[in-house]
Parts: sequence; structure tokens; C-alpha cells
Amino acid sequence: MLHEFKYSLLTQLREKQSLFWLFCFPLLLSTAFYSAFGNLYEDHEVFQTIPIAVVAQTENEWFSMALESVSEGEDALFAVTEADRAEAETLLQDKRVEGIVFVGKTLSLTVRGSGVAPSILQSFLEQYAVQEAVIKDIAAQQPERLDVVMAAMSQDLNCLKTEPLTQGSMDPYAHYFFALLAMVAMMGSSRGLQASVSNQANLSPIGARKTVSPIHKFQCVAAHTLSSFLVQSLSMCVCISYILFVLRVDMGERIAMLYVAGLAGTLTGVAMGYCIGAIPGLSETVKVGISIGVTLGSSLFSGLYVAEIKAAIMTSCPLLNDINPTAVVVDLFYCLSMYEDYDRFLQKLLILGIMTLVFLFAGFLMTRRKRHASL
Amino acid sequence: MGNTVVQIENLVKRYQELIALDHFNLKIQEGEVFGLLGPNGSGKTTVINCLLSLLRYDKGSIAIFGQPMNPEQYAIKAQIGVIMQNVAVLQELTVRENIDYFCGLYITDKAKRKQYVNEAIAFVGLEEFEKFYPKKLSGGLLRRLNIACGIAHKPKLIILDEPTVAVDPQSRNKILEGITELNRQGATIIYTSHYMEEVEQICTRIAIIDKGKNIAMGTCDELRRMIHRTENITVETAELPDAVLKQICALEYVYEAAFADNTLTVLCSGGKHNLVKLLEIFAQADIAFGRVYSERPSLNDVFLEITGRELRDKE
Repeated sequence: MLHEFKYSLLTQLREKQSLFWLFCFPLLLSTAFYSAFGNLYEDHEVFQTIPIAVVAQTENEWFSMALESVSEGEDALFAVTEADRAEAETLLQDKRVEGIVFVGKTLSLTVRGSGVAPSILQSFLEQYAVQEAVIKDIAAQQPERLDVVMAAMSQDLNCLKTEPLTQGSMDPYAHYFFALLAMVAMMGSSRGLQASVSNQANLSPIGARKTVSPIHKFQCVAAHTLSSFLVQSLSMCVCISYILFVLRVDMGERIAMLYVAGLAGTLTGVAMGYCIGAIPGLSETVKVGISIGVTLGSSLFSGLYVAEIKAAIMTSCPLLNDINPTAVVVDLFYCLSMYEDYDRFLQKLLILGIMTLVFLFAGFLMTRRKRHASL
Repeated sequence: MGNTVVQIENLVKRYQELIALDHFNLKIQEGEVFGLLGPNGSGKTTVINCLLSLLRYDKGSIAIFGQPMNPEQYAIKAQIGVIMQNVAVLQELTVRENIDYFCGLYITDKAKRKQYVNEAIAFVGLEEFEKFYPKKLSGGLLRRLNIACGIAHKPKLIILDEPTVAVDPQSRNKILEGITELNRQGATIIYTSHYMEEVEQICTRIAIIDKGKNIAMGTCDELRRMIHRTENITVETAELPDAVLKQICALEYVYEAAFADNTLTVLCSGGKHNLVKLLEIFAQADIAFGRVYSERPSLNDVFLEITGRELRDKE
């Protein structure tokens, strides 16, 4: 078996065409995704501190305190530049600030246009104006309760800060990379298919030669499938590493488990290909077509091309997501990035494990001890 | 001759309506070079595939080395070497690696395998090419590699299914010499071909197959004796009067004579001095002649006489 494994591995690593699909294609697609979504994410999705100019026309201690509380630390809402009117207007014209807050008897705001930053700025000022009115009212009517109210309002202001819901990735475009990795896993089906076809006498002369040799079919198949899994795993690990460490896409904190998820998906992909390759009565070309079709089709339904498809299937026909191996692999990555515990991850891993066993068992049943009706 | 190596009894194989093998029988003894001769589509490869348990068959029995053959007979398979009609080598492995790989399916001991691989490379004369990849080899060298992959483990029974198709004459001779040498070393050989010259050259016994039936079996001489014709005489001459042709037809043992394209063809059945008597008629009639041939009937003649058709496809 070691002999078969060695040469199977050597053969696969020397196939130039398959090396492209193994290593270059996933990296090219990752890069294409990153080029398409990476900048969008930086520009629009990641919150960045809003630069503003403050023109203090009169002293307003309460406002200064409130502004200071949201302008400190790593998650600061605003980056404040104190300036006179002329300087502030210049900064606004030069697009170096998003807006100018005029602090006078009342607060007024000048912004460049519409968008997220001016909305936040306006929202902050409105919230402050409401709170200022409440404080003044309390101070006049119930001064002994002022400290309690101030503390409560301070918390309200802090609500404007971004707080992560989970320990995982909040990158909204990470889904596409999850779907891409799931597709890489399913591309293992073409390796699995070769493992199957190359051991069948009616589909390849090599298969015929192996069949007439005294080596047990199970050994041949196991060695070839194992080496296929190893080669495809290498491709998966390279792709995950490239996305994480070169493209620096945020896929959460559980790096090691991402690799585990990738390898589990790869095993399923290889097993699926093996099963497709074992379907009797079909030519190799038809089997390759089925393998490619299943890989691309299942990737489509897992949201590789349009992220909303998977969510739509989840609401209309959730079973389809559970029997689509690519969608299950995507879910594995999702579980790692969205949930604190491993319950859902393990649940998905179990589904994938069962799929893998079914594919391998069915494939072996279809090919074992076989004499063909024709060659 | 020794023990029976292969015994096929009443083998029937159908492809839907087509009967590929029709109650086919065969018995091959140890040490033979047995030729399966027949035109394309006659059932030669089907016999081999059934023999190797690659194909299901409808009826009959197959025994190799006295044991019934089936896909789980690994001990029997270990003693068989197969050279398929299609070249079956891995394009990503070098010549040496290919032979080592296929030999390794039979021989697990590394040291022994290395020795066998070296011997196989030398046997087919690929020493200079052992680091070459198959795509760099010519058709003839590729066939030789294919053979090396099939015989490196020193099998007792070697099955060669049309190993010389599309091979240049030099490589063909090398292959045929190799087969004879393997037989000398003790292997029993089954050789299928539609090239009658090859079969006549190397086979000790021959079965002629047509439409899935074993229509004749024996040594070359035995097969020749099965037919009416014993001698073909050909004489090149510019002219041959009808009277002389009638005289030739009247000769004892001559059963057919024809003159066309300046060539006289005479078919004889029996008799020892047919050519002498024929040339005497030419001398008496004072007819000049050019080249003269006297040949024993070929396997094609045997096939032609039995089936009424040519053995080899017109090329």
C-alpha cells in the first residue's frame, strides 16, 4: 500500500495541469475576490474615526466633556481639531474633516454632504442636545439626583462605540472567502474521481493493469484516495494561509480550527469524487462533467457567486443546505467565526463526516470485485 | 509438454445480441507459445479479458494453473504477466519508475524488485532511456516499456495482446525475439495477433478464431495439413497461350491455375515435383519466364480456405 501511495503521490505532484488547478487557481480567485471586496470593505464597512473640526465660539464645559468622552482611546468616534471658523472651513473644503461643530449658545453643524459620517455626527449632536436639556432640568428641580443621571447618560454616550458581538470575524465579505475555500475543498472531487477511475479496468488501461495484478483493490483505492486527499489538503492549507496571512482577510481568531474545517471539507470533496467516479455505466468524460457540475452547482447554492442565495435557501428549504456538502463546509467556517462555542461547528462536522462515509462506502460497493460486461 | 496452464471450456460471451464467444474451448500446456490468430473483431481480446476475469461471461468455465479463475484469485494473478493492446504506462513517471511501480504490484521485496527492474530494462533494451518520460519515447520504445512493465515480475504465464500494433520493424523484431527468450526462460506465452507472419514465426501452437469460434487449432504444419492446398506456385511470364494453361490444369495434383497480369498462379494439393513438371511444360512450349516461386500455404491460406475470407484486413 505504501508503494501505491508513494507513486500515486508522485504522479499527482508531477501533473502540471493539475498543479495549476490545485495551487494557482485558488490563489488567483482569492486575489480576485480580495481585489473586488477588499477595498469596499476598507472604505465602507470598517468603521473609522471621523475627523471633525470644533469652533468654540463660547465656553461649553458639558459639551467639551461629552466630546472628550467619545474622542479617546482606540475606538474613538471622533478625531477633534479645534480651530477658528476660517481654519475649520479650510479643513472642510480640503476634505480633511467631515464636518464643523460650532459651539455657541446653541450647537450647530456644517457638513460636506450626506453619508455615514455626517449622519453619525448629527446623531451625536442631537443626542447631546436632548441630554443637555434633561440635565439642566434635573439640576434645577432635583439637584441631589444629578450624579445618578449623569452616570446613566455617560453610559448612553458610550453606546455610540462599536462593540463586537462575538470573538469571530465581522467582515461581511468573509462569506465569499468561506465559499471560495468550500469550493477548493469540493475541487478535491476531481482528485477523488481520478483515484476511482484509475482503478477501474473498463475506464483506463492503467486500471486494467492494476485489476489483473494481485494487489487488493481496497489497497489501491485507499492509497490513491489518501494521496489525493493529501495533495488537495496541501492546496487547501496554502489557500487558507494565503487568505489569512497575505491578503490579511479577517476570518476570526480560531486559526487552527479554520485549517481543521478546510481539511474536513477536502476529505468530503475527495470522497464525493471517488463516489462519482465509481458510478457504473458512465464514461470518464461524463463522470468528469458530473464532478465539475456538482462542484460548481453546489458552490452556487452555497453563495459563492451571490451570497444571498444561501440565506434564501436557508429560509425556503433548509434541508438543501444540509445535504449540500459545499454549503456545510461554508457553515463550518461560519460557525467558527460567529459562535463562541463549538456546538454548531461539531454538528456540521458530524454531517460532513456522515457524508464522507456514505460517499466512500457507496463508491467502494460500486467498484469492488467487479467483472465488467464490456471493456 | 507439461501441465495444463489454461483451460477454457464452452465459453460463451454475449454483448447484448452479438455473440462474441460461441462455446469457445482452449487448452494451453506449460511451456507453449500459443498463438490466438484471427481478424479484427474475431474475439481474441474478449478471450483474454475473460481469462483475466476482467469481463463477465455468460457460460462456461476458465481454469488457470488448475484453479478456477475469478477476480479474487490473487495467487494466480501473481503468476500472470499481461501486456495489453493499449499502452498502459503512467506519463508522469520515468521509464524506470514505471517498471518499478508495476513490478511493485507483484513484488514487495525492494532489493529483489530492484534487481528485477534492472533485468527488465536490459531485457527490452531501454538502458539508455530509463530516465526518460514516456512522452519522449518513440512508438516502438513505448511498446517495449509496456512489455517491460508486464513482465518485470517474472511471471509464469505471459499474455500479450497484439503487442506489435503500430510498431516499426526493428522494434517488432526485438519484441518477437524477447518473447521467444521469455519462453526459453520457462514462461508459457499466449500471443494474440492478426499478423500471421508473427504467429508463424514464434508460436508453437495456434488457434484460429473467427466470429468467436475456435475454427482450427494445431501447430503450423498441422493447420496447413487441414486444407486442400499444399503448394502455391507463381511464375512470371509475358504470355501464356490458353492451350498451355489447359495443359497445366491437367497436371496431376493441380486443382486450380490462373493467368493474369503476366503472372501464372498454380495451386496444388499433394505431389512432390509439381514445380518441375510445370517448368517442363514451359520448356516444351518454348515460353520464356521470369521469377518463379514455390511456397507452402500460409495461415492466411488456411483461414481463406476455411472461412472464404482474408485473415488480415486490407491496409
